Formats: sequence, structure tokens, C-alpha cells
Amino acid sequence: MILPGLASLPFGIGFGVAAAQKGLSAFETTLMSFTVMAGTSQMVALDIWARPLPLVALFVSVFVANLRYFVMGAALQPHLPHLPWWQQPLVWYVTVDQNWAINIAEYRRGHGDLGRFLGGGFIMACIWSGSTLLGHLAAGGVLSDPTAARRLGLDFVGVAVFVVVATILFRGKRDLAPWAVAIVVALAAKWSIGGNWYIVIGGLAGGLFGALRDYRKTGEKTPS
Amino acid sequence: MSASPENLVAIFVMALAAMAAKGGGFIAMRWLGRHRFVAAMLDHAPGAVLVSAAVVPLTQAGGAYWAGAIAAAVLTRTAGGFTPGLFGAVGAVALARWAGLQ
Repeated sequence: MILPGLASLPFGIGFGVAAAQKGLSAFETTLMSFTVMAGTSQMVALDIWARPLPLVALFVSVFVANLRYFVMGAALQPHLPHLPWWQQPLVWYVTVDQNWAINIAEYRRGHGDLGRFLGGGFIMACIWSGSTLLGHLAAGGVLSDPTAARRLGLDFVGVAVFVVVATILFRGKRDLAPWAVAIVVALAAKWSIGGNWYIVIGGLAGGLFGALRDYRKTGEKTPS
Repeated sequence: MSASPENLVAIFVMALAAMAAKGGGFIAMRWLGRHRFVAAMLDHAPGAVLVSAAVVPLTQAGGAYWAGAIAAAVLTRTAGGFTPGLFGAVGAVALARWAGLQ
């Protein structure tokens, strides 16, 4: 999980710099990163960060910016059906893009491990929080320049995780059409709506198409 | 180590919102998961989410990302797994940029 965690380094440094410019202290920046652990929504929240603090707007914008995790959590639940109630918030907390992608692949292959899922998420939380602290401390300095990480290709790690895990999950011909639908709908959503809604919309469209097609093949009635 | 009470409340509200989004799908599945159609949908959803998440950055970035994506897919298939795919992808992007691709 260290390399996927390092993927967040340039973004984390950038967020730390932006948080410092908004007047947040180093402690507040680190605390926010560790407790929220969702970079895009933190960046959105900084956009509306003003005095007096708009708490309702902050809640709604962070919730909406994280809606893709709603789908990810739903896909994860069937693999952890008997999880004790007190462990569930820990699983929700570590459900972040790369950690989810790696572990959903493991669960599907029958090799899922809760300890690895939670541990990987904790490592990612530490790297993410540490990188935002670094950005805050170095605001305006050399670390706020993301070109070094870009030269090393580290800005690609996040996307690379999605490609690698998709390749592992690929089951051949039966996945082609649902994935094609997901790709077309995601691109259309990005073009028409913007933001990161394309992940939720594309994922739901591909899932819906696959389920409808499977129902037709088995001759069962689709739910009305 | 300084923190204003108002900022701490806002951070708590944000953390609550993130947990609500993350836990909402997990909790909803306790009831929805009994429906076979939902189960069939979730059988396809993870792959669909992943390709949706990958395709937009790939179309928005330059050739270096495409080189990285191809290296990731080929190495994951041929070298058998996550680590060679990931390291190969990052190396391919660095090499592509060194060669002048964006």
C-alpha cells in the first residue's frame, strides 16, 4: 500500500499549501486529512471555507463529493456480511479509491483479508495526512512544486492502480459490453456535468447494463 | 499546535459527511443485497467503477498516460500481478516524459 499511498503525495502537498493559504493551522490541516481522508472533497470544502463557516454547505459538499464511495461500500458489503457492528466504521473509514480497488479484487478471488484492508487503509491515511502536513509546512517553498513528482511519473500512480486492478478483475467477453457502456457513460457524464460524478454514473450504468443483460440471458423477469 | 473551536467543529462535520457517504452504501446493502437484481448489478459494478475512474484522466492527459496504461495492462497480464503492473506503469510514464511525451 506504500506506492499507492505515495500517489497522493503531490495532491497532499498541494492541499497542504492551499489549506495554509486559507488560514488553517498545521494541526487543523493534518487533523482534517486524517479524519476526512478524501482529498477531492477536502479541496471542495476549502473552496467554500469562509467566516462564518457554512456547516450545512460543508456537510452537503463533502457528502456529494464522496458519493462514489457509496457505490464502493455497497459492492464491498456482500464480501463482509457478518462483520461486527463495531468494526464497520473502520471498514468505511478505509474505503478509499486505491485501497478499495486492491481489496475488492482480493475478495473476489477469495483471498480477501480484513487485516490487510484495514492496515493498508491506515498506511494510506498516514501518508495522506503526512503529505498535507508537509505541504502546509513548506507552503510556498520547493515542496509545493509538483513538477518533480510529475517527472518521476508519480502523478500517474492513482490511475495506474485502477488500470491494474481492472486488468486483474477482467473476466473476458462477459465484461466487455458492461465496461464499454461504463466508459461511454462516464465520458458523457464528465462532458455534460463535470466534477467527479462520472465515476458514480459510469459505474452504475455499467452495473445496470450487466445486470439487465444477465437477466435477459437467464430468461428471468426484470424487476419493475 | 493551534486549533480554533469553530474550525474543529467544521472538521468534525466534514468527517461525519465522509463517513455517511462511505457507510451509507455498506448499510443499504444489508437490505438491498437480498434482491437478486441488485446482487447481479454489484457483480458488474466494481469493474465498471474502475474503468470509469480510469478513462477520464486517460482521455484528458497526453500520450505518457496512455503509455503507462498499456504498460500496466500488459505487465499485469504477463508478469502476473499488481506490483509489476504498478511499477511498470509508473516507469513507463517517467520514460515517456523523458522522451518528450506529455
